[in-house]
Amino acid sequence: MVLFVFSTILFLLASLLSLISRREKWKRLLGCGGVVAASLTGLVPAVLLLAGGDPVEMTLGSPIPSLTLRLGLDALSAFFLVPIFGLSALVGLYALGYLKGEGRWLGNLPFFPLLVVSMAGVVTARNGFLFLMFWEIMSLTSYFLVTTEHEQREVRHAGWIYLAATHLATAFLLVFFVLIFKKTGSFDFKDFALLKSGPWTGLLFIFALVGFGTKAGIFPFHIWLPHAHPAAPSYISALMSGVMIKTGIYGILRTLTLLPPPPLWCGEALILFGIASAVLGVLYALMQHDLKKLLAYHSVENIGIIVTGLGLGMVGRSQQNLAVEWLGFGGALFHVLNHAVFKGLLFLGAGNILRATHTKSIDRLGGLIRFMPLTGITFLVASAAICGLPPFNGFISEWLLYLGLLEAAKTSARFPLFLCVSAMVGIAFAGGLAVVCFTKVFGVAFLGNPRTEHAKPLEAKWKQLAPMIFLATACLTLGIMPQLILPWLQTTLLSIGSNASPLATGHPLVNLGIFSRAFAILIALFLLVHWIRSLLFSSRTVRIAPTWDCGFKGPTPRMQYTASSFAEPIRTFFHVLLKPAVSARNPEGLFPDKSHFEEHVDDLSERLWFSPLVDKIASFLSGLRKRQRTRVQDYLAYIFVTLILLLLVGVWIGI
Amino acid sequence: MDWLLVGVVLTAFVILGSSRLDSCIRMVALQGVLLSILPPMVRGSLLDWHGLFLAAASLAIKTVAIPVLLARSLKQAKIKREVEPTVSLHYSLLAGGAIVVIAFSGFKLLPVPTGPFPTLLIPAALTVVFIGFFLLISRFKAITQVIGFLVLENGVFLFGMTLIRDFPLTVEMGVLLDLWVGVFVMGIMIHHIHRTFDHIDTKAMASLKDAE
Repeated sequence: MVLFVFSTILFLLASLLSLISRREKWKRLLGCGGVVAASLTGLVPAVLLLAGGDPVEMTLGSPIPSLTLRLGLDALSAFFLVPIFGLSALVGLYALGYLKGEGRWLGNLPFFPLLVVSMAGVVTARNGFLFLMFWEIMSLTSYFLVTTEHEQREVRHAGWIYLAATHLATAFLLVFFVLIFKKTGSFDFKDFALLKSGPWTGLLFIFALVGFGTKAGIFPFHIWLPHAHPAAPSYISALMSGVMIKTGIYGILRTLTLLPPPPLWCGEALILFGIASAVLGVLYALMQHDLKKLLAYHSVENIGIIVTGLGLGMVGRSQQNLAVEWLGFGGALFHVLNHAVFKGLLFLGAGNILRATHTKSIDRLGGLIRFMPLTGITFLVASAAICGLPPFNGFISEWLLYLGLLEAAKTSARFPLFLCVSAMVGIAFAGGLAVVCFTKVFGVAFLGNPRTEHAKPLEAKWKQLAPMIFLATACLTLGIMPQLILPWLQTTLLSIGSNASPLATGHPLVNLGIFSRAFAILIALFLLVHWIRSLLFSSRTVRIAPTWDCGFKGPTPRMQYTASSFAEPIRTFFHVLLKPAVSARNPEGLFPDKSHFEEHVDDLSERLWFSPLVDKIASFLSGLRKRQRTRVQDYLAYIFVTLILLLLVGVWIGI
Repeated sequence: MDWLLVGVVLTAFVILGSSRLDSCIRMVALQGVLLSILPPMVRGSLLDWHGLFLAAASLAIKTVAIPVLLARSLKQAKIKREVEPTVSLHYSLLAGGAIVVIAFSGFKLLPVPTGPFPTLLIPAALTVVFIGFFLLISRFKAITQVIGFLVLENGVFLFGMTLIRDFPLTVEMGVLLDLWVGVFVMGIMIHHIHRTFDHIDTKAMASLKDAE
């Protein structure tokens, strides 16, 4: 705990020093370097705890009677602290290179250490009050980081959407903690155990689900993600998508340990939300032309997979099925870690592309792998991992989930059975579409020829590449040797009160060591094929020639398959759901005139629910605004009348 | 101790019912005197340094510093009366009566801490807070706004008496400092409003409204 406090102080110092230093170089060095140093310091106690240390707690003091602020570090906190600090350290190093020569972005840099330390605070707070405080600091600092390029209109717009969404989440959480406070008389997590099981549990769970789900980006509440991620600088998107949205998952898991066992339908609801997020997230991702927006929708998909796992674990718990419980929670937790690794890597790669080509539109890229080989290869590794392909880490966590779903399907009937089967189909479907999606991204952006005449894109500097190579190695290592993480999962699951152990599943395949051998064979086979191929080609001459143009004259790089045309079949298939808006002018006549084609897909939950809702609220408020009074006394009178009424209600009805 | 509380409520009523600004300021000062006697009495010992310190500080701020400041700005602004309150003075007094009824009839049902303080404390505090609020709503001169704010703050101070055993001294000192700074800023504002507009009627702020 001493090291943890020390790292907190380092973060605050980094933020302060970066704020007050004048020279750009020092601002950058102190801000980013401070994050690296502080994160590495904070990583030590988290790893030590997962390796078998004892949970520790620390009292910060009580500012007013009956409120004691406590921080604590147990296995669940540590399991989330590892990706938070680990990815922050790497992102800090990346930002050191990324921000070089970008003086206009440095003004918001002091919020970067604050964001990391507030995330660490969220997962270590042991008091509802303190938790909400850190939660708000996290929301506000990330808002300021999202709006780094606030001179652009759409960035400010995205910032507002994010701010509104995140405050909506906080509002639900506030109600959540206040309801618990009313029942137990305390904000302390320890006292939440006094809560009796009852109809309250379900209600509390719904509040927690909406509150934490908005932050995590579960399907109907995800609308801020596709706006905020493209607006934020890439290193911040990596941090937000990689770890910040996971604080929502942490919240749901922590809620589970605090509340009495929730009824079965809570787990089932989580599975339903999870399937919806996974499938719709990947479908919308496939429709995007903006690289970072696409990655943002993939976060929705992956959160969906994680939430499905959580729901499965809860179903297993309420059915006392140890194997299902372990596989569900274990798969979800493992996927949290994995997603931090590969999504962080993908956003960093997107940052490199953005810096080198100054465009986020996939359709304007092409042939990048020849200019940026290391970015390309690491991006490929991360793409394979996010699609859940062996031998990378995404495969392992999804594998655990599939096993869990199969196990649950074997032992349950009726509605849970239906859910398990749909979840299996849903995740498989999402995985398949993810492969299509990343084939599209990688194929269009990195392969082929450049589509636009821009200056030759330059490969990033080592400060940017080193973290990416590290993350790519992590993808591979976690995939080949998943048994390394198994003890961590075990301690974490013990700390959230499930007694299941991997042995309880009794499933031979859950013995993750088998993957090391299987993947070793896979890699050996791959190398063998590669060797045979180079052997075959060694005697022949290889000639690089232009693509055959089917007899047309003068092919241009713009005739290549575009990302939109690649996704066209799937869009046509799902057009009932996606409702693409097309504006086109077809070429006509023998000598066709100007023609154009434009198409975009609006988000379902934005189109059907949030847009109409916001419009209604806006029209109501503008009606109210016409009634705006001019005297401050009138406003005071409103407050006065409200207070008196509340007092009378409180006195007579007793709330 | 009850006579102190009754005195506090009565002074609030006098402020509510008088149109002369200088007598309002004097009543606020008197209320400050009554309030500063309270802490040592609630603490139960006249030699307790926490209570004495609080008494001295609130006497200095509520009875001396703020009224002097207000009297000075009154002299500068050259006004003597609150000419047109929204609610006439008679109705103000009636409303004050209603407030007392609500406060005294409701408090027994409120979940308040019990302790070694007089039972009248909570309803008296409620009454004073609401009367202060009412002053803020019904008066327009910037100076009466400050007076309303002071009365409200005095009510909050009365509430604070229920916690005087638990609260560290620093919190209460912080509240007093807050009040002092608030009134100070308001005094400066009154001065500037007066210099710029030649009157201190807050109704004129309406000209700042957004154009539609």
